Amino acid sequence: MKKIIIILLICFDQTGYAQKEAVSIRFRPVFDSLPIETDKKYPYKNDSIEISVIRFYVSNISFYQNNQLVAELEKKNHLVDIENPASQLIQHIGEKKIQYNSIHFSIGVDSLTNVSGAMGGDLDPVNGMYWTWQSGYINFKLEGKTKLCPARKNQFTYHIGGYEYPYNTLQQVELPVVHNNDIMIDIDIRQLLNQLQLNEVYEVMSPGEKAMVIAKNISSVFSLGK
Amino acid sequence: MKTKVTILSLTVLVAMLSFTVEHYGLSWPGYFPKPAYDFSKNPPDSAKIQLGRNLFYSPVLSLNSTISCASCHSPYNAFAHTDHSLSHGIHDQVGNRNAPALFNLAWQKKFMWDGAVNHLDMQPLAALSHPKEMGESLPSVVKKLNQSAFYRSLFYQAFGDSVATGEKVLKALAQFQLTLISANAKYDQVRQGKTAFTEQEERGYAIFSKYCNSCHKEPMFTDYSFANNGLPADSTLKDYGRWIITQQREDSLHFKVPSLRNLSYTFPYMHDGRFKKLQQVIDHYTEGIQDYKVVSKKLRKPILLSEEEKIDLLSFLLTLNDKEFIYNPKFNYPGKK
Ligand code: HEC
Ligand code: HEC
Repeated sequence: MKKIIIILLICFDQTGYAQKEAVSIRFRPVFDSLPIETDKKYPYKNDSIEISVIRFYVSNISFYQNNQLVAELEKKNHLVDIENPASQLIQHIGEKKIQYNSIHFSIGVDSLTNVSGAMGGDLDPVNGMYWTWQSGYINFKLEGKTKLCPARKNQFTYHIGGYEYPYNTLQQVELPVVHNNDIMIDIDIRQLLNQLQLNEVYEVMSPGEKAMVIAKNISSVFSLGK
Repeated sequence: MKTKVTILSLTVLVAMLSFTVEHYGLSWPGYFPKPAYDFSKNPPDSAKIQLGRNLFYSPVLSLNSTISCASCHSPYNAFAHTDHSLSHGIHDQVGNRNAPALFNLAWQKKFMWDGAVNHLDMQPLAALSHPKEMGESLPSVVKKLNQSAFYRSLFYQAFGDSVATGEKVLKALAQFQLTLISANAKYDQVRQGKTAFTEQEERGYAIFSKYCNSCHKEPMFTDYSFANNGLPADSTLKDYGRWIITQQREDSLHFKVPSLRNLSYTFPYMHDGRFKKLQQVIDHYTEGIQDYKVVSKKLRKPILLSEEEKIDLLSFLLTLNDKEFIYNPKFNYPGKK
């Protein structure tokens, strides 16, 4: 009898170990389904376009099964930077296996964090994702150039942020997923640029109505990659 | 029996009024409100305060190593600047702004004349990065600090790790500024039962309570709100104050209600430093308010004061000067090592 219990315990133990959940989530800015490389020319609207900066915060990543929260990542805020491939890969290691059919996250930094003073790591203002003349995190940065943009040196600059009503730019994204150890999330930059009206609004660097519109555009171009 | 009870309750009252709050080694009178700063997120500690004090007085924070925070915030002016009103504002429309005094910052929720900054920790970013102020950036300041043996040792003493980060620089600067508590003016000594107002000051106090306390609220002498106090807008500066930040039209020409402590040291007055003398400020409130439609509701009824009453009011305002604060050696230049 004792032996059986021991064997059973070992079995449980092993299955327990095997039951750990490991998911990696990859955020991948793409242009025509190809991962973007900075300062490379892409054909765009009978002309060309170069992207120099894509950086954004992804926060509160969580897994849901039929609208029930089943797990969330311990680290709240992640700075994703196209220049730093390691930052694009976010790992979730959970103590137990979970069933989920959607993943939720927000793009940006929530308002409580915005008013809580100096923070370190991904939230350290040294990362250049914090405004200086007015408090607040920049949730999303997109910079580049194209002749379609009438600005100086044809450069466009979108620094999207703002945490206070009525201009709170934090965006929620929910994507249905099938259970997978490697989830790829694409950010379709061509689709985003199509919505931005580069020829008219090419410099947005403070909170307000324009930033609100663009924040919504941004959240609409996150999709499950193939 | 009756007298005994009265004496007892009087002693209790005096004890209550004069008791001091001790918090992480900082102290302030019991009649101060609860601070807005969350000390638990950045608990004051002497090594961090020393680091912050060194940073505050250090030109290493500016691009060409010529300007420190203290260049514009001098201890002898209650950490204001008295020469002239200074240029500020990354957006051209912001124009000239006067460097405000720095004290009792733990009680303040929003900073700058327009409330652009939401936390004391974050305030240095504005000065550091401003092309006309220090022209630096946080990443490059952090880099310079990491190259300095002197600062590496101060960071080690403060954080148990010699590596400087943006977070540590900001938290240390906040810690030094949190120690700048001004609470020992004659007004405070009167409240603590240690001395009494003169008759003139007493009359001035009554005038103050009637016309000024609604915004410059005791004992901090500000309610930390933003208001339009009837200054005619300066058409050359085009500074609309709080409107720039909230983008709400009703905030147009609203500015931070400043504390009235230490006024003798903090001239010139107002966000653009337009008044050099306190007398001019009082004349503004009695005769200078022109547009009664845009001014705060609290100032819509004209304030009528005789020349004697103006002097009474002035004499009360002078009881808010805190000489001990100005000459406190702990707040001064830390000295070369
Ligand atoms: C060139 C002058 C200058 C320098 C250098 C400077 N400041 Fe200031 N400071 C100002 C001005 C002007 C304002 C008000 C700006 C506004 O309202 O837009 C201000 C505002 C502030 C405030 C807000 C006070 C309040 O009541 O709202 C704090 C805190 C402060 N400064 C701290 C610092 C620190 C810390 C440093 C060094 C890192 C520094 N300052 C460097 C000029 C300066
Ligand atoms: C409606 C609110 C309000 C009332 C009432 C009020 N003030 Fe003010 N006060 C302000 C605001 C706002 C400022 C800053 C305005 C600016 O810089 O544009 C200010 C600035 C000042 C300053 C300049 C301080 C500095 O450091 O620059 C003094 C002095 C002053 N007030 C004194 C008084 C006196 C005396 C009274 C009563 C007669 C009074 N105030 C009533 C709102 C008010």
